[in-house]
Amino acid sequence: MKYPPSLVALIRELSRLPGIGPKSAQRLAFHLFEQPREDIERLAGALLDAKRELQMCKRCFNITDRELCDVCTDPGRDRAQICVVEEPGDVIAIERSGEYRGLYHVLHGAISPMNGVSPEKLYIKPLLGRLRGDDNDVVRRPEDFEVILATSTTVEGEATSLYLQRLLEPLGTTVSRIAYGLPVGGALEYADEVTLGRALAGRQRVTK
Amino acid sequence: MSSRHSNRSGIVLRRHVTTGGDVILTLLTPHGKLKAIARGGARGVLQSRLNLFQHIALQTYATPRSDLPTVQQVTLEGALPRLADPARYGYAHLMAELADALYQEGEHTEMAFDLFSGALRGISHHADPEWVALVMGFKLLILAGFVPRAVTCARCGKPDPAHPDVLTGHLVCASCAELPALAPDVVAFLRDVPRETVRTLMERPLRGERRQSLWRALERFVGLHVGEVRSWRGLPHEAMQAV
Repeated sequence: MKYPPSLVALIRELSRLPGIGPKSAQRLAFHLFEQPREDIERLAGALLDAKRELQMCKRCFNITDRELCDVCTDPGRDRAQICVVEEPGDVIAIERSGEYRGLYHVLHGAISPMNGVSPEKLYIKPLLGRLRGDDNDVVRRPEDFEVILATSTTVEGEATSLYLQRLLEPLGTTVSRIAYGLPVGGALEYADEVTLGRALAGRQRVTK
Repeated sequence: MSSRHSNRSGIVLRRHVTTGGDVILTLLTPHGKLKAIARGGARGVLQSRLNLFQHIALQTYATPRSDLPTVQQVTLEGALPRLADPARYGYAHLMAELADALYQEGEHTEMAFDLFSGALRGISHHADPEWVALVMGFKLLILAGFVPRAVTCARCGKPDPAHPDVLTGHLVCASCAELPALAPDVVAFLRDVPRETVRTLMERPLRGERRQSLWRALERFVGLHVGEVRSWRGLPHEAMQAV
């Protein structure tokens, strides 16, 4: 038996979403069919609204529905600290930690020549602009900033971090890298050798 | 252990993280290229072992109906963290992209594996990673059967050609040439590279304009035999200017 064309179209569109295979798309399509019309209209409206409203923050390139995101407009933030991350999802992860009260800068990727991602394709130039005070923020000089490199610990993330480090050091900016280490609550026995090696190399003195 | 399980050891050439957090790996092993999927590999305990350019041993499980074998266990056999250095990173990507394009799944590639792992080690540790990349780039191509013609003219067969061919990267004689002749040591390198050992070639580095001539020759040769290589743009500035 063939599905009606509109159902085939819906399954096809759903299966284009990340993480959704043809079977999941089929299940979702049948689920949507069984929902009341107003629920479907609400879902369609939310999709269109999100597409219409969402944009990148002009300053930090995080996702927002305004010109500047909530973090950039928050007066309680430390404006001399900029945490550089690869993706908008990383901002959410750091915010969840509740340990950071500075600003962010989202690069939207990491340097990967074989995937065609060169430094020019990342939002590195606007970061340099921010350090020079282009966005008329309170802190104006590069040497007044601390840039925290929070790119991932993959080879691509490390390469991006080293690239930024070499770019920012001559400006006099304080550059730091997030620490490598063991997960909280994890048993040492089950830690992998790379993480354990990095944790030992980056050990901290506990006596004064 | 069932026949659906397999133990392999190889170097990660490519890694693609799907939005679902799975990691699709391409490895070069002594027994050919291998593609496998590590389900949830971007989140779990395996994530630090599934990095680019790492030498890993892995156990995979494949069913007759699965497209890709699933990674079940991974141990790290070697890592070269210095490859993340911007002065070395682009060359490592170029080597990985060449190896990925030149060697196929199911092909016996023990020599290619040794050459590629040697290339990465050289790029990681040598004081002149650019020269390592040039020598090993040519060597990887030659091992795959793509030998630059430098003894006789690539068009008419006359001996001792010294001019680069615009399209192919081979050498042609003065009467077939459109470009000026290459420096004698560049010609000598192209003539020697198929038969000399890596060690001998590494002892005679070319510099400046001559090295740029070799990059241009390699780029033309790769363009003809391998096709588009995206890593050219990731090479450090001097090498990138040449191509």
